[in-house]
Amino acid sequence: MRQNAIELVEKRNVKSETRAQVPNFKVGDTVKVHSKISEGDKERIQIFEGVVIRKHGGHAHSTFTVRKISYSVGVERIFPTFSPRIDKLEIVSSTHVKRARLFYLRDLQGKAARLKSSDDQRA
Amino acid sequence: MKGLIGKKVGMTTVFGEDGNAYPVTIIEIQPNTVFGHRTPEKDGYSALQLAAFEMGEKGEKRATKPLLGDYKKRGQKAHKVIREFRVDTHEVSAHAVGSQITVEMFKKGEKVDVTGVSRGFGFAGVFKRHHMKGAARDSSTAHELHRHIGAVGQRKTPGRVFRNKRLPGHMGTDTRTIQNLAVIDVIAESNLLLVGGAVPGHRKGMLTIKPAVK
Repeated sequence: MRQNAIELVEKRNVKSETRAQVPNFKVGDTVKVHSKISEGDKERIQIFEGVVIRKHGGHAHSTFTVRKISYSVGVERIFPTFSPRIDKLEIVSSTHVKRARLFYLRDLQGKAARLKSSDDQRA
Repeated sequence: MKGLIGKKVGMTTVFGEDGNAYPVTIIEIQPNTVFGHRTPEKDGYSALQLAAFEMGEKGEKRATKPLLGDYKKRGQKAHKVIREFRVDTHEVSAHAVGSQITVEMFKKGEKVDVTGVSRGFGFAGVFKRHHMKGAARDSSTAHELHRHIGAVGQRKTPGRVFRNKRLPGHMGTDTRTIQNLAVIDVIAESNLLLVGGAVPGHRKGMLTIKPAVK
């Protein structure tokens, strides 16, 4: 009963179409998150581009963290994966990483903070 | 002030129409059966007796004989819980004995008060029970007093510990009410009620849900 009821509520709220729209991105991928920002009664799209450093499960409540360097300051944003505020999620590039969580990037800067692209790995 | 009896199922997150994510508790409210009436003439007050979660044969086997007699007299089946809700006389007569009240009594957007028995923590220390801070962990002078309470009183005056001094002891399994929780959604076909925020008690715990008093 418990699991059924929770699944029912989550499926009613997050439709399978919404789930299907989210691309299969991985930790280490560079993504562009088109998020809807409402200012007063106007709505516009803001793009947040950066590296996915964490994916957190939890069905309807799953989230992911995107890190980018903005004017030499590291900025991280946590998005709920199935949020209706996310208009579109684009994968810009993929990399080969050996960790599930890339928190070590926080201590690195510039050239050191680069990730190996998945193409390099294949070569 | 009619209410309903429900069971806590668990928590999850739902996205509202405004795009915000809300934490919600799912409460299962199977149709409550009107078990009996309390009338001013007979009992000195008016109330509705509601029964929830029919138990079937098992319930009849487990019920005490006086309760079993009560079931028989009213022509009712064994239920897990029977509770009373104080209502006006006209509302008592509006619900015939044996009829059912469903979760549709609550509407989306309303506020409700949810009563339940909080989780049991056993004999708990002052950290957990009263949010005290204890002694410093890095200090060499605090010899194994890290999670202890400090002083409990003064000197010869008053020479005793004041009543209600916060001390370690049993914590939890108290009846608690959380007021003004918003009804996020009502799923009538599955007998589910979604309220914003947390409610007291463990999963499968019995809850009483009433319209908000404030």
